Amino acid sequence: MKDEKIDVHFILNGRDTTVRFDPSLRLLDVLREELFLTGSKEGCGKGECGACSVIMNGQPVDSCLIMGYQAEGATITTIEGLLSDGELHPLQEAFIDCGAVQCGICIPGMIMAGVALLDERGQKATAGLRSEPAELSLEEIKYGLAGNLCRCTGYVKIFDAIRQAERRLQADQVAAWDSGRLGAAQANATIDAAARERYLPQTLDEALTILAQHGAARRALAGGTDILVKAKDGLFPTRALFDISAISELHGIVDQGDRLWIGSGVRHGEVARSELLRLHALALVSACALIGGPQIRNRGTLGGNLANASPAADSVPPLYTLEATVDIVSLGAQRTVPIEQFFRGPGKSILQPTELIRGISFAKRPNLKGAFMRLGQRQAQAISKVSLAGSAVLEGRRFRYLRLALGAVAPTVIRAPQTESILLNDDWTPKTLRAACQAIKQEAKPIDDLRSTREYRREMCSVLLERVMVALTGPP
Amino acid sequence: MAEYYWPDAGNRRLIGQRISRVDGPLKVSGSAKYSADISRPGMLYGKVLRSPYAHAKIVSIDTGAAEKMPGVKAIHIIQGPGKVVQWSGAEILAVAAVDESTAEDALRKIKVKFEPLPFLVDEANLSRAGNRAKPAADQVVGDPDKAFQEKDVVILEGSYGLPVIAHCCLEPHGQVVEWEGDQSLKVYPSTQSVSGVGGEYAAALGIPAGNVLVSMQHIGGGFGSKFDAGPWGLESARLAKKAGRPVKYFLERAAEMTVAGNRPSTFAKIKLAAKPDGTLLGWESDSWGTGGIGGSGIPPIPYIFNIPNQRKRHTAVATNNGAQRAWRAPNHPQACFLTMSALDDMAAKLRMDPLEFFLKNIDLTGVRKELYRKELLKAAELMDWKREWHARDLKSTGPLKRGLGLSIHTWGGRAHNSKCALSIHPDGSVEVNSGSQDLGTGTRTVMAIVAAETFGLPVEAIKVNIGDSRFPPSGPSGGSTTVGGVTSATRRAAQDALAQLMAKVAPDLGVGPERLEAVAGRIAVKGDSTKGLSWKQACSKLGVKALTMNGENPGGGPLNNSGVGGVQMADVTVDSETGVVKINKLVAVQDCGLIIDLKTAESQVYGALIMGIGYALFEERIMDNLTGRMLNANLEFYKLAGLGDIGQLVVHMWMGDKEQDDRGVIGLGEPPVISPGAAISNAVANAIGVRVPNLPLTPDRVLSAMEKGGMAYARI
Repeated sequence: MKDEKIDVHFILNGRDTTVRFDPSLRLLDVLREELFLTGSKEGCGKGECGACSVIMNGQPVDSCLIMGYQAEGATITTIEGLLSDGELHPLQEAFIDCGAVQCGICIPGMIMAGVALLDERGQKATAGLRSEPAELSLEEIKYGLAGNLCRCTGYVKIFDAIRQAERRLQADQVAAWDSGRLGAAQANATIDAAARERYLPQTLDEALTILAQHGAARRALAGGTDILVKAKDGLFPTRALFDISAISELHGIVDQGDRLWIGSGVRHGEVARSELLRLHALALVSACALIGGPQIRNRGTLGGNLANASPAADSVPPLYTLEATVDIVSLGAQRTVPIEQFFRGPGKSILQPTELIRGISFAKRPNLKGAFMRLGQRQAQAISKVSLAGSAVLEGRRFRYLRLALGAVAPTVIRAPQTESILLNDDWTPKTLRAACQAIKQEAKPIDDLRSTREYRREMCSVLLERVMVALTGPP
Repeated sequence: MAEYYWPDAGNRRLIGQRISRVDGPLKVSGSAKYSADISRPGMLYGKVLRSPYAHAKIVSIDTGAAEKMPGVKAIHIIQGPGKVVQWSGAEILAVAAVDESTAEDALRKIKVKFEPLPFLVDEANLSRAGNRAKPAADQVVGDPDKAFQEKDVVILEGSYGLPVIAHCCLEPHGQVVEWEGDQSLKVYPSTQSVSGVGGEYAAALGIPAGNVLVSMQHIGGGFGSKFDAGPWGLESARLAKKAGRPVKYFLERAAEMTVAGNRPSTFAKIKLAAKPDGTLLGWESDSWGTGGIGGSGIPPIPYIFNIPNQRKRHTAVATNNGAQRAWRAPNHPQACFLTMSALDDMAAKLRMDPLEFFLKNIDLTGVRKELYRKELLKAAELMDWKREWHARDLKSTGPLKRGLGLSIHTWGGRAHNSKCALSIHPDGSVEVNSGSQDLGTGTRTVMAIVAAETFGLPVEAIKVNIGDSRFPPSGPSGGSTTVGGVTSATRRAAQDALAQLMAKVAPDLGVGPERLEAVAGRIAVKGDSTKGLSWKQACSKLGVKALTMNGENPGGGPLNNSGVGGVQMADVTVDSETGVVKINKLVAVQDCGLIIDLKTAESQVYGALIMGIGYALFEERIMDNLTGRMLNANLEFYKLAGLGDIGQLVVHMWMGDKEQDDRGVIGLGEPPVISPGAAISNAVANAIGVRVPNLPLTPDRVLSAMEKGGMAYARI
């Protein structure tokens, strides 16, 4: 039953490391069970609690949502790697001093997310992107630690600890304290041939060949933030998976002149940080910035969000409003499909088992404004109960372009054509807005579920529309 | 007989200061070993097959295919054919295999046939409970009928409720078990009762209690759900015996949420009578709730306010759900929410400021009325209540509505029986051993502080060893009993040891031992610090053997006490268009007698507040009436409060006065978690003008309450 073990190479806490393990292990299992680094904890196994957080290639990630072989060639820092010559990192000292530790089970993950936040802050300061000596705002700390849950300590002391460590790092003039220093060694080893063939295709053709040969028996894995949650629920075996995140053809945000192209492997965090996309696809940037917490944004990909085909996927309504097309490939073939024709229902799309999404593209429109809003079960790291994206070009009092899309109120994301035409066919006035807010309630087809009720969702379409429209253009 | 006492305020160096926890470095560096971090040679991984049905008879079990799988080392039937399971998630059988995925694969190959039986999983609608609902209490105090018919009486009627919630420890229940031969067992559990849980294994497994060794260095949350060995523990031990190898089994998150403990629900229809001036006259309640198949008892209502005339009826509903376990301050959060919400609604009906209304009736709170009065005024000052509070019907424009609410609570927290052995070694080192456990509350730290204070040494000079059943037994950590127990035992042992050490060195210093004191790392003559010995020199007089003294807190005595109050206030903003509640600020004023470590004490209160925000705004077990299963047995849809949800938290420890100090040490873990639900709900009612009857205060409940209350939120 068991697959042959594979060799995987990475830099772990500054050391070149090669581990031979069963390919069904997650990175968290490799750390805990194979390397006995038990500082990273498993709280939920689904990327909800952040107790397993490690820093991978400079970014915090949930090690429970990464297959062990996806660490090939990566630079990884775990809580055990923060000690420097036996000395605690300033953030570790601050956690003790501020009383930010109680039972302690969430603390290693909390500290790794905090260190990543401080590193990023330090690097920005060094690069002149942040004016000194402004300290991290409370909102920045909340945003940076949104992927970590604590059940007993109370969070406020954790904020205090981040602030105290930040002051220490600044005072010691190590503002750019960088856990990346641990990447000084070089992972030069070549990829294990068996691992490459089964789990780590390096080119698009290699990946498509696996799918062509095995079809539905194998599944492509990129960010893992949805697919590994399903695997954890036993929906399919992890050994069916293979990693496509090393494939360069699936990466990049490319200005093609009149269109923009985004590789399916581009992660939500990359979208959220892209200046190019901020200029041409603000609704998408806003949505990706709200997905999950940092650990999820640093792994989850745009292509994965599409392939997962959830009606609540936050990146999808903005793509509807951009009239994006999906670029699909299989071995020796390719097709391009408008995004509205891509989804078939909850968890269902037109993607065939032999196909991969290569990228997404959409037309550039001058003066396009964009906005995205959603309501979740709590402030951060929550699946939308209802979401609304809008992209618009307003000239004087008339919309020259207006597209609205709703998430989580129908079996797929939907456009709101009646509402759009009300807004497009009249001057932008309070009366038009009122009419639109009434109309949109009729366009949603929401259901009752765990997260909310039908009535609530229907009502919220109207509330969100008003807010999105005001965010797009200011009050009428 | 020696006299035991705490040093006077003027003579304390450490007690009451903000001192960092002694196990902090281990915890922040990831080197603290929790039981799930333990690996033993040859260790197998356990997995449990659980019932998919809420109520069913097991007809047959076929393990044939699984037994033949390579890597599967043992299969142990927990409940065989003929047995009836009473909730989904109930244990059917356990498998031990060389790794987790093999064990999971094995479970998939096992065929169990069930005969499904009728079930009830949802108790919120009592009329659907049928014969599952049984009268559980019918109590009358005074003459309620007369009270409700007084002249000019004002009557308030309301419905209130809290659903079942889960403990949701971030570290699940579980353990590593390892046999030595077939008569001795080592257990590395996640437990709140290191000294107690071994006896349970011994009794169940038929081995001598002395042959069970329990060891646990750290625990990732318990909150009352981790006292017993649990089926996961006992059945793992049987499985390990069958396999002949150690077994690790920690619950999967779904099982943790389903079978490892929950807080019972309580719903109530409440009627209150008061005079027009606010004087409370009568209480009537019809309450019901469930804690699983055993139903549930009546919470202590009316809470704290001993209203003179009462009629209380309670109905216990037996549901096919995993059993309740003690949840931090058992029954108090429910009683508090039901009572304080009704009182707040009465205040609104009387057009009184609830602060005035509470103060008006403060005499009904009994022995702690003066303390409550002072704490209410202090909290009001920290909240700027007089300035910020407005009446419910105040009209404000814009979708954002702000409101304030308050609540009071009480708890016992008397120290449990606890023993320790304290040794002073001839080289001057000091260690204290106790079979206690540190739930994150700071058990090790407070013991070290007390010994260090007594000996005039720094905290780092004391080594505290806990978490091992070979140490002198200490009570389970529940009910806020630990801090009083372990500090009293440590103080007693330390006072006795110091007396003996002084007797040894007194001749050398040419004075009687009664003239010596231990200060600043020395044993010196009182009033003449030049005349003395360093601690190390003094200890060298012990010869070659350590001086070991046993300390025992008998459960009471001069060093500890019980009974605290506590006041909390909440400031919230409600988005009246989306129904989203945002916490602006929570104020907690809390007494707890003599505080040993202010830092860890405050930490308990901060932690209780976020747990309170969790059950006030988000937490709720959702059962499926069709399948009988829990729909949100995960952290994805069972939401805990995140960092973005908490607002400003202001904690004020009621300390520094002689009255509190003289009471001695009182536990603190439970009380501050009791009030947040009530205070936040009252603040929301104040903000939007109507009560949202049930917790958690989800956006759809908030909007629906506004709609029913005629607060039609006409938009645009």
